[in-house]
Amino acid sequence: MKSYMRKYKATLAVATIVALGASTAPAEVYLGGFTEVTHALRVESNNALDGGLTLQNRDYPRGDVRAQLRLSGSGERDEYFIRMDFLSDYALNKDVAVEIREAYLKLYVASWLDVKVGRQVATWGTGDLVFVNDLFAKDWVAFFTGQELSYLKRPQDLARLSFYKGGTTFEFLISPNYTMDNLPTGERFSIFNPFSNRTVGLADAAPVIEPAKTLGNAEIFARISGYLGSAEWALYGYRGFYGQPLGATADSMLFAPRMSSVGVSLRTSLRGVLVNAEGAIYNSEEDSQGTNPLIPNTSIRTLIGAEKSLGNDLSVSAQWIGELTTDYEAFAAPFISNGALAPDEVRHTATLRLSKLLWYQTLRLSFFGFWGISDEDYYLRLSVEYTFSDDVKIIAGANWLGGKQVNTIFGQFQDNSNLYVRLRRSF
Amino acid sequence: MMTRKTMMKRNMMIGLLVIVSASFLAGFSRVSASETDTTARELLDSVHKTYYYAAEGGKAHVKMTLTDKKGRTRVREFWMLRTDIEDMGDQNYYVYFTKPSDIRRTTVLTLKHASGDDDRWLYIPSVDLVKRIASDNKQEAFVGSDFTYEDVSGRLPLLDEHEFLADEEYNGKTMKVVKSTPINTKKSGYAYRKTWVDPDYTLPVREEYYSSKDKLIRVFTIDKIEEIEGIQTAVTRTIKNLKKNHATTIEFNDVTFKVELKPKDYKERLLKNPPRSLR
Repeated sequence: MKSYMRKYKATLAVATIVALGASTAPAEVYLGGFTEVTHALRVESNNALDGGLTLQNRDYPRGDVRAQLRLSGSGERDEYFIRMDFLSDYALNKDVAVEIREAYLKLYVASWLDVKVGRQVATWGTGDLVFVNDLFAKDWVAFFTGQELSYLKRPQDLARLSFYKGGTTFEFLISPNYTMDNLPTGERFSIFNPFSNRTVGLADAAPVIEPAKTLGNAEIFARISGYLGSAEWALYGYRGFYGQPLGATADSMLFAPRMSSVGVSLRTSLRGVLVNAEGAIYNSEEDSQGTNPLIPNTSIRTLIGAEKSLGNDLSVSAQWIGELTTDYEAFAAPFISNGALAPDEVRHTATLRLSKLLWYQTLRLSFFGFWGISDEDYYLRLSVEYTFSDDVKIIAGANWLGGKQVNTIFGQFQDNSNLYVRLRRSF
Repeated sequence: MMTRKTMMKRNMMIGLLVIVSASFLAGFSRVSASETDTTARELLDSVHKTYYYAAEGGKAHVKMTLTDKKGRTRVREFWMLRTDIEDMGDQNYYVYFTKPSDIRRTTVLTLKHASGDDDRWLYIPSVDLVKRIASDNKQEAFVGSDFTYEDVSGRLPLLDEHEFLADEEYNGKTMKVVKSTPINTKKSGYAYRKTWVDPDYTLPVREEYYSSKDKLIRVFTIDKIEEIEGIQTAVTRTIKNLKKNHATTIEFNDVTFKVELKPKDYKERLLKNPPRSLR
């Protein structure tokens, strides 16, 4: 409870600073938001979870009531925006919490420069729910348990500078401290523990060490982008850490190793088909030779996607993702010497999306499937969204996860497939 | 029912008359026949120019009301900015939503190409996502309304064959009625349409869309015309879908033809940073 109070006070402080920071010019203040109930139900019982310990009921991976408030205003050369959630999580037995999802100040400094400072979400790249050059923090727990898509992005404290020259944009973002992806911890979802080699709940999960919140651990993101006719191109750079705790220590703990990357993307429309391609090198700084089996090797990731609208508000899209491990022999050697099967040198994943709108777009049907070709695992997302009126909508969906092995990304979650329903009223 | 039947009869008679007179003229001289078509095309060209290319661009606050068959309404409000690159040619459009609250600050950028597919992007602020939209089909509904993207940004007259039907009384005024048949009906969503042109304003005050079975499926009307900055502007427009018994009315407010943005401003920066006048 105390920590929530502290959080609450911090929220107020941030909100006040942002509001005061904006121009004093008389400007219209906008207030809006929504109230929402989300309830997710596991499709089969999961005995690995610590029912009653933190999770109220093992059958409900999510159950919360939230109110989101959005506040914004703008002056001659600036703009502020605050978005915060007041939330009561009855699945995790927590009292009212406050989450500041966004609280930023945007300054239109010059015709060639914009600055956006504060808590914000950032997205770039061309993938559809697949990220190659977008190394901003994600919230996979929200994604797997039926929250709205905007919750997939984990808010980060960032200073974003955008420079414009001709048709080219140069963007530079810095976060004073690293934000790891929010991954299942064994609390809402059981997870695979690589040290005990089995699926576990929170109590038996491998401990994760987060990097210290120091300036030395700042994350830096950069992008140069522009247009070639109607094609969009971009070059990316990043220095920070892997978004997930992919490294292991000798004493059985997990951590996010240092990583830097460079990449490129292209997106254009070819005869009514949207096509996109992306590539990046993830340079594993703590294992540049690829000899340390506890830290991922440098890898090359590629993505190719296509999307076509078939008319009548029906669209289909597909993507292929390839991940090549460099120094593969060094990487595979420890597996082979232990008599185990090493992961493939190239990991293939494919996705398929189908979406259809009906009844004047008040009914939205959506299917998105991840298919781990190399990992032999899958994640299917289905949803039906019905808009009763401008203010009220209901969303029902399914998150279906599984695979052949319990040590793959989606395979480890096979006992966590869930159905969810979400009711939202906006104001 | 009676009136529609009578109208259809009349339309058929007009049609017959046109066909007879056209073939009659054709018998005498080819030039005259093509002249008839040219007149219809010229008329629709000037209508298209007045309606979609007024001034060099402009800005308006749009209120869109959707009414379903049970009379329930939904409302969308947005700012729309336009900058023309070339008369009857490429245009850039920018839409900034203000209502409903769920989609507030969502923006859409459309680069309309007179030849070829449009380029379209959508910006969803809650995820900071710039999504490119596959847009080879201009017949898709604009934000779930009865207006298609083509209704909003215009269908070029060169895509259809035009034929002058008659002068007809409508709303106490003599209108020119033109029949337009898409050259490629596969993608048009209808077989042909008729346009009632107000000769004083050169505006399409009424349009009727027909199926291949000559069934009236859709009606567009201009309900209110106002003079703004010396330009006759259709400030209220309605489309009724007769098949689905659904209607959409759009009202334009705060209209100006002062152009705020240059063609080169229509880029990702604009999607994320609305102009000062809209914030």
